[in-house]
Amino acid sequence: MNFKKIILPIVAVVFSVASYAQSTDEVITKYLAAKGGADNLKKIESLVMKGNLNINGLQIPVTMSMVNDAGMRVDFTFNGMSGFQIITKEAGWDFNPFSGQTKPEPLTAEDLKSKQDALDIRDDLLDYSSKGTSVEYLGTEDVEGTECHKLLLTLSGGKQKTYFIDADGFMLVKSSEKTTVNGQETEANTMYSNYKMVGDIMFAHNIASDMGPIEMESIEINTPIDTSMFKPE
Amino acid sequence: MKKLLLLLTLGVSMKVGAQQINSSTFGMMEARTLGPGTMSGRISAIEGVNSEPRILYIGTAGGGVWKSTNAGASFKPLFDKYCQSIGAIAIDQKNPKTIYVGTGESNMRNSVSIGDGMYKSTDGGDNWTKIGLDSTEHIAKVAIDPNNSNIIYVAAPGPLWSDSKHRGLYKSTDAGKTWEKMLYINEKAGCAEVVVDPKNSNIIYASTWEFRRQPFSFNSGGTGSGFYKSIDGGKNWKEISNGLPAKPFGRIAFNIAPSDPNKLVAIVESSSTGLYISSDGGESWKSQSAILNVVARPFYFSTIVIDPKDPKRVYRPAFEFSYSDDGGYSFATASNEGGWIHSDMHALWINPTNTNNMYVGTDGGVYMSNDRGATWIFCDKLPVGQFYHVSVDNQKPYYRVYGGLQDNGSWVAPSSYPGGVSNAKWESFYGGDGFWTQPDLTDPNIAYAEAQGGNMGRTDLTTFKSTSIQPQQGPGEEKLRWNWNTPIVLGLKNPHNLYTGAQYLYKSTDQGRNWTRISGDLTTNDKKKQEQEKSGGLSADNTSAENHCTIFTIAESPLDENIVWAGTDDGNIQYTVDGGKNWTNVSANWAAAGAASQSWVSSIEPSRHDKNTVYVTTENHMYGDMKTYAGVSRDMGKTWTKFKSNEFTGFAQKVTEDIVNKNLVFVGTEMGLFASVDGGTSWFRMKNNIPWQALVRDIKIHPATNDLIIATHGRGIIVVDDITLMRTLTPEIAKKDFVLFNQPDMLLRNGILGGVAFPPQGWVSGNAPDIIAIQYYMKERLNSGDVSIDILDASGKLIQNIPGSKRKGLNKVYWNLRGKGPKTASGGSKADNSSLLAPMVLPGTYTIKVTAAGKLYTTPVKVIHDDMNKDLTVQGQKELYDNTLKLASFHERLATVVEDVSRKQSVLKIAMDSSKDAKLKKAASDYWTKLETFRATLLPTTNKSIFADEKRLREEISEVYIALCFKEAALSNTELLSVSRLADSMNVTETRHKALMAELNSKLGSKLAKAGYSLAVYHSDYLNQNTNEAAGFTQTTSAGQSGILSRNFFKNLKF
Repeated sequence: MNFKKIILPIVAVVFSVASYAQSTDEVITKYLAAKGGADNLKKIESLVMKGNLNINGLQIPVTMSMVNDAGMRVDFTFNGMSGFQIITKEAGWDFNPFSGQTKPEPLTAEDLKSKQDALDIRDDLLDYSSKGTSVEYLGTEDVEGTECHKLLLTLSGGKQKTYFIDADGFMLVKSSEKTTVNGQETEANTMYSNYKMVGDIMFAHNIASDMGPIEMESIEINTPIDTSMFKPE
Repeated sequence: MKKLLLLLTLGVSMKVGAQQINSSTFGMMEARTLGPGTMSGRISAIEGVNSEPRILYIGTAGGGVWKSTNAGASFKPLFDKYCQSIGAIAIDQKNPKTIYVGTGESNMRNSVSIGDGMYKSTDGGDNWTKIGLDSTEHIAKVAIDPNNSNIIYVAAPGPLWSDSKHRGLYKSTDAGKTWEKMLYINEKAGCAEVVVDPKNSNIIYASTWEFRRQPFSFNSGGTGSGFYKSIDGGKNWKEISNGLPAKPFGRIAFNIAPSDPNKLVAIVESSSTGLYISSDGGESWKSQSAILNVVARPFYFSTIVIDPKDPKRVYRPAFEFSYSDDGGYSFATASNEGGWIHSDMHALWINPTNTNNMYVGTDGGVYMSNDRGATWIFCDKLPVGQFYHVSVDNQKPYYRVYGGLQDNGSWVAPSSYPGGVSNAKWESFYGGDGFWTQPDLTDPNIAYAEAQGGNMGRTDLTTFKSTSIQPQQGPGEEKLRWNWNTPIVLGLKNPHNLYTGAQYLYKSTDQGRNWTRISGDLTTNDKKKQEQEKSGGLSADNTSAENHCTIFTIAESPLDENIVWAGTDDGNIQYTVDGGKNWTNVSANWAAAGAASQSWVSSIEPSRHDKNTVYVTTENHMYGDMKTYAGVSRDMGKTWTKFKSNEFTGFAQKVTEDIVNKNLVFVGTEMGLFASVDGGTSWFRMKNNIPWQALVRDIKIHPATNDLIIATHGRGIIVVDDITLMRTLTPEIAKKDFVLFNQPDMLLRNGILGGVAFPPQGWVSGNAPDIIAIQYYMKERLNSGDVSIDILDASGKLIQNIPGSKRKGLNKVYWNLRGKGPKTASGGSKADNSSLLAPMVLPGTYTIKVTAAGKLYTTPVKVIHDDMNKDLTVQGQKELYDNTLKLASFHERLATVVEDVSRKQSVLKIAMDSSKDAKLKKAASDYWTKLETFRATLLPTTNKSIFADEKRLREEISEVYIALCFKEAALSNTELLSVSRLADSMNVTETRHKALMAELNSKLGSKLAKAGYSLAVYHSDYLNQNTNEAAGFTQTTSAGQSGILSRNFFKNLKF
């Protein structure tokens, strides 16, 4: 056996790691492994996440109830009043009494379509090609000083998301979604931190959108959810 | 295999190791763009998406590429990481997410910047790939074959300042992967324009251009200039000449009629420059108009466009905006009826689906017309101003920023303002091209400014009247030579000294009323470089832009007013130590350290810490040398150390030493801002919201706020608020996992600025934070684990908890000096905001306790009374605080009452709904109503509309409580009375509550219990059901007191 033939690829691999030249699937495999593994992610049927949305110090209790590929509902309360948002594969509703709404109102078709990808509660990158998602590796990028792999996901419906995955630990640091409403492109950025194991899965317990961070108090996997909650009444 | 994996892991962990100071070290020390959008900057390219004409891409002279998705109502930058000088943009209209950008503007004025090749995006500008032609320096046009998206043409005039093979017409047949040169003349002549016939894309027209600048002259025209046509996609070329004037040509601007491609128009710079038209595909030409706006400055105005639908309608955006309805025979000029439109235009895009609608790019931003160019509306949100210099004064509470801009005069604006610094806050105080501006630090109403070629004035900022103060030529003196960008500078040691320079240095001690010449000719006085009247080439062009052998930079030592340094555009670095009696030239010593000999002295910075230390930048780009020359001398220029770094890009414009830490040094170049924390040994590029390749022309550090203020030539003024930690965050500190910094004393006040009820228009910058941040450093981003900040009072009681940020480097968290709000009565038909608010704490020592990934760090913070606030004494503050807390306690007592009433009502409701006993049902219903009548006096229970106020006891308490929470003055007599009135109301309420409950218990308690309805049980879902039935939300506070209380606060609560 030619010794050189073995050494060279190893050296090449080490160097390529240093410069973060990685293939799309390598990054995705490591990312899914860091999250708990594809097999464990596939076991997720439902999630109940409870936490507080912090807006300039104001804590708004939020509960997110999700059944994979079926529905999700976000409930929030303040000062004894509560509102919600529901997304299903067929329809969606908003109820926000704080803005003077008196009953749940349906989401526009455009709004609904832009949010339905959230029904994939396991992971966008899990078996992505079978979902009709394409992924492009865009190299590394500095996210708030942290070197991240940048993946551009184009979901089957055309929606684009960019994942920024920590080049060291392979956890998702940031996601960026582009939606078009009324012809206006808007970019929504979400930062993820405070990762903790829940069962076999690593979950970010701090999810910060432009609105403010949600700090999760509890995350339950596969707690039975009555799907009647995905109707506004 | 295992070994391989092990190595892989090692490879990953090898990355972490030596901790270097770089931009990420300073994490949340991020820049803000002050703008403005008022005068914007030079626009070099505009392209729109034909199928969705609301989508526009704007290329700028020094501010990168911007995109609008709303027809110009707003823009976002796309090129923050790349070269900022844009020459051309092309959209693949068959697949409009594919965009090509050619960098390096080709409006070849003296101050034009440099590009670094071609870029491509396939996702509408979110991500870019560099695709070659790196050495072309200037690109005038990118054209895509309308029938084949893989075929791209690039017209590259190429380098302006040197001979080069990297010029000509390039073609790619693989969508930009590879390039082939199709038309090349010689090392002096490049390609200035290319147009593809929209109907037969094998037909290509191109013009070549011979041109050259030197620091002291410009030439347009020569044997290399020509006009060409190819009918085989650029393989073979035929020169076009029939009917055109005799060669030599200069620059040729031309275009084709999209609706009738046999028709062409061309402005041919020549001995008889004018407009020529062809109606046979360029085979023959005839002469048309030669009005000033057609023939003006062909090197600078190279745009001519024919309407997409009407081949007779010709547009000529140039010195002004002209249009023709007869194919170019006669021209009319745009009116100012719709508002003034900036002169000097370089780009025009006409919406092909609605040709009334068009966008023009000027030296002062983008304008839109909806009437075929007759009148124009300014797009006021594009902050791409091209500053040359910036100055600051010492105004309070916020200093003012002064600066002069390319073709946009001199301006002044506050560095922060209620609602943000908007376009409207910028005031113009001197005209022409703006350069140096100088507030008189001894007289806040006076500022000095200069327009091109040494036209300088003193402006009274109360009336904006200016008086000329330019020194004039005296007997026996040579004609004065003033640089295009003549310095006018205040003494750093003695602010009564005002300096300016032609070839001689002048000093005034009476605000420019009189001048003393304090030097001989400090330049090389090379007569060969002083023939500006011959400049321009085929078209004479002598606007002072090529004036040479002049003084370009002046600096008085901050330590000794007799030490003055002067640098010239022809490379002399001179100093005096006796106020100008004697001068020493040390430029040869600087060259000995490795700088280009006699290179343009762009800045000199005498140290604030040592008389003998001086920093310098010089630049040699006008001789084709783009290297970064910056360095320091510690012995009055005898010997120099040139700064070296692989990070440096671009020729050097400015060096600035920090005013406190002599090891903190900044260098600004044509392509970036760089910092060193070790006296110039190592350097890093400053990012954190600063465009990575910003054209940095000037840098100031404010002595009071420690802000870093950067003048960019294309991204306006950029401010990094408070860089204090850049002085102290050493590599030793950066090695630590976590560091909580000492907290400066905090003044007890509700910020500095008020709010505004009406949002300002146009570009609005953010303000400097008006609370001091809690700052900590983290070596790495914290992905697992949390950061939480507790504020404890002197007794150790927790008064506030704030979630911490977790990013790598410096983190900033803001404590608003308040505790947590009270619990308020809930369950009404409206929400109440008092629970969001607490009064500001009292003066004293508090503890900041940070928990980061399970570890504890603490530092004390002294909160001190604001002695500048004459409305509030320490005693008054205590009284205010105590009374506000009293009101908070009323809220909590009321919450207890309401909660108890709601609990009892929940039981009664169940009895009403489910009891079979009619009598009990009736009694439960009666008591429910009785309790509801009582509850309805405590908080709103009926109103559904957000526009119908329903003021109950909770709202009455809130009204006073919230007013007092925001108050920064002593309690008023009526407020004091109101607190005691509410105390009485609370007592009455509690008495009534007690009585009602006693009655309920005695009359119904046992009956209910017997039937299985215990009054002690609480049916918690009752509350939510109840409120959902009658939902509505009205604010109980006056508007504008705080963002958190705005009427729309919850409106955006979306998931």
